[in-house]
Amino acid sequence: MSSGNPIQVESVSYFYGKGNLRKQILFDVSTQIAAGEIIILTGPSGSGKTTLLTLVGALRSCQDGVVRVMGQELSAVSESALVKVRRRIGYIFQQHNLLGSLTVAQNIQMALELGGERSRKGWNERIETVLGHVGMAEHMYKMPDQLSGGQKQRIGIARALVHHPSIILADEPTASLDKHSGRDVVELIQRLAKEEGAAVVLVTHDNRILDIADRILHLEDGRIKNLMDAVGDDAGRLLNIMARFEPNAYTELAAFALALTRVASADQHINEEENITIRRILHEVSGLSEGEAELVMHLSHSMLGIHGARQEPVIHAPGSEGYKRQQQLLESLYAVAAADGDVSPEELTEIDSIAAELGIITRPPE
Amino acid sequence: MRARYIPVGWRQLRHNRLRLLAAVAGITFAAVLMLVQLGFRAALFDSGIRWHQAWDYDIAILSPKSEYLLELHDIPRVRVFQAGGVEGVRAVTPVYTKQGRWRNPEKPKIVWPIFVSAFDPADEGFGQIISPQQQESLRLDDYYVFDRLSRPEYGPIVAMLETADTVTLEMNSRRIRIGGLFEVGNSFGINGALITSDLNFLRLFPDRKHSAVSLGLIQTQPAAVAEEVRDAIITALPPDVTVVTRAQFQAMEIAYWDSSTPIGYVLNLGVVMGLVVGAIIVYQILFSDVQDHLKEYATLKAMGYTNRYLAGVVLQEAAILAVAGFIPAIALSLVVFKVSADATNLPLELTLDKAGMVLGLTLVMCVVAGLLAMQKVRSADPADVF
Repeated sequence: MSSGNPIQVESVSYFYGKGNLRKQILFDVSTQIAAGEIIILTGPSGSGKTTLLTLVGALRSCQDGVVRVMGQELSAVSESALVKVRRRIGYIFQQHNLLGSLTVAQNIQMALELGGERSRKGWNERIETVLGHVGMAEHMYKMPDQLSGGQKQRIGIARALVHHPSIILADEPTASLDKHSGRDVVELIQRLAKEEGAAVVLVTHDNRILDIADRILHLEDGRIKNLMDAVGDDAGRLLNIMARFEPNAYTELAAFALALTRVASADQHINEEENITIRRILHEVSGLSEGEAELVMHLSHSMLGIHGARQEPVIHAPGSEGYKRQQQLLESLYAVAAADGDVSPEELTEIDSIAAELGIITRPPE
Repeated sequence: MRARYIPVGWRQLRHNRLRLLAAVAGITFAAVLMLVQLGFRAALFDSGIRWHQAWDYDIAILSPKSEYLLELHDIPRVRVFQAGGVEGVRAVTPVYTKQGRWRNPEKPKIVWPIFVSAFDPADEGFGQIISPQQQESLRLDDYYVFDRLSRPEYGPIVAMLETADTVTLEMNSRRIRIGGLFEVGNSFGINGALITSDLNFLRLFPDRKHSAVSLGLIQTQPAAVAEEVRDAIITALPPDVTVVTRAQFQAMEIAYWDSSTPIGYVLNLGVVMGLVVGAIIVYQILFSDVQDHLKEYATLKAMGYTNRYLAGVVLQEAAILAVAGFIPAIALSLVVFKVSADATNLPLELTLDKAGMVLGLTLVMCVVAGLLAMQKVRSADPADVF
């Protein structure tokens, strides 16, 4: 074992089908997931995220490459070895997948039955405790069909956690839930996973929950893709769509965002209180809808990221890596200014002021 | 606090009450079918050897061509007397049997065949079936005793004998007198019976000869072993007769009804049909149950449950269904047996061995169906739950 990480994926490729129909789903995927780390696996449908999840979950045997889960290698092992690994993993499913014929408590007990304990001593307390953690203690003896979707998903989480697994795998846990209960559920997973020190892999399409992750793995066409590329693609696509279908609104909102950025960042600082106030002002004074106000805030925040991140300009020594990057940025600014065939004095002034703000030593273009 | 074992199979069954009810009803039907068929089959055999059991004898001599009681071929009477000389033999009784044509005294147009057996009243006779006085009376001309368990189609003979000493009626175009009653009972072949003397028998059936009998009944000395005496008789007699013990004689009759008649075949088929119908019902129920819970089973597999565990769940369901279907089947078949026994005078009884056999068959049926349904469980792919 090269390291103690509970999940190790090295150069994994995976194929479905045989002969002419053989199709590659995963291409040379590698990653390491540490204990206590929460990974969100994103990507469009058919990108291979579910396949990767089932490989890590010992639900398929690995074909090419190495999948090591809690020290156990999963390629070319018997079904019974896979079954043993599964028992040490907590699975949270897209739908709750509870047994409709069992009570809530019995459903959770089904996970304990696999621990190999002969006597069931103290189990009821453990079930009660875990139900308490998910806020469902009073529903212990109900049948699943007496509960709402969110409640059932909580029971599913309790079932996945009751045997203290060191790995938790979740597949679209919020897919069948509304925005509010979806948020509750992932926060619950996050909190309990941190308490237990479990490694979490969570597959989702739901952008609203990405922020709970420690790290995001983006899969596209079976390959792990740089997150910035993915976000750039997505955000760019969305903005283009908006510019095309609602050009007026787009221009107006972009202007708002720019203005907001400048005003708010004048003091190089923006806090939560200010955020709320700005949102209210946008909503009430400017007459923007909530969604529009939200978009303006997001655009402005992404711009503020550059300003707000830095309190003081950083001066890099000439020749250092940082210095080189700053010079590259500056050169590209000049190139952008010259894109219309002519560098105007206004453009030069603006570049100078940006450079001053960021603490870059200006140097006239050669 | 200690948690309790979860009977998942039972919970799954209980969850869908309507399906459980349908399954239990189907299995009950199959079990009743099997019980009734077995009951009739047993009645066929039990009733078929009623005369074999009623007569008092240890060894029987009959023609090698004879297969069953209603069609006994003649043997020379002298063979029976010859057997009387073999060591270990206490007494011999030559017996004449044939189906007579009985005319109902109240509805003379109705003619029914009736089983007539006869012997010389001077001989040992049939034992306890008729009283010594009745045996004496057989010496009278055209005097007969009548089986009180004969079917009602023969007429209200029993009632008529309560008010009169004898009932006179016509048989084989001859006037005969019924002067007494005995009790043996009916079978699938015999609906009514008479006993008379050899001389009356010969009057009734003029084509029969005194020297040719249907059967020889032999009683052994109290200390003798029947098998040894039988072997001694076989050695002493020419090979134109078959010599069998009481048990062999009964086994012959059962073998005939079981394998040589359509009745035995039909009843055997009935048992098989019940088994097959039941198995199909149970399979359908278990299969659709597994089908409906496929996602749940795949989930359990993903959690780390084995195929073997899930097989156990399905088998638990099968066993519960078997027992749950069997209990009402017992109650129901008791009713069916009572009604049928009253209607036919056949010995229909729900014995412990029959119940045990049907319980066994029901379990086998359910387990086989469960094993078939298990193939479906195997197909539940844990990777599909994601």
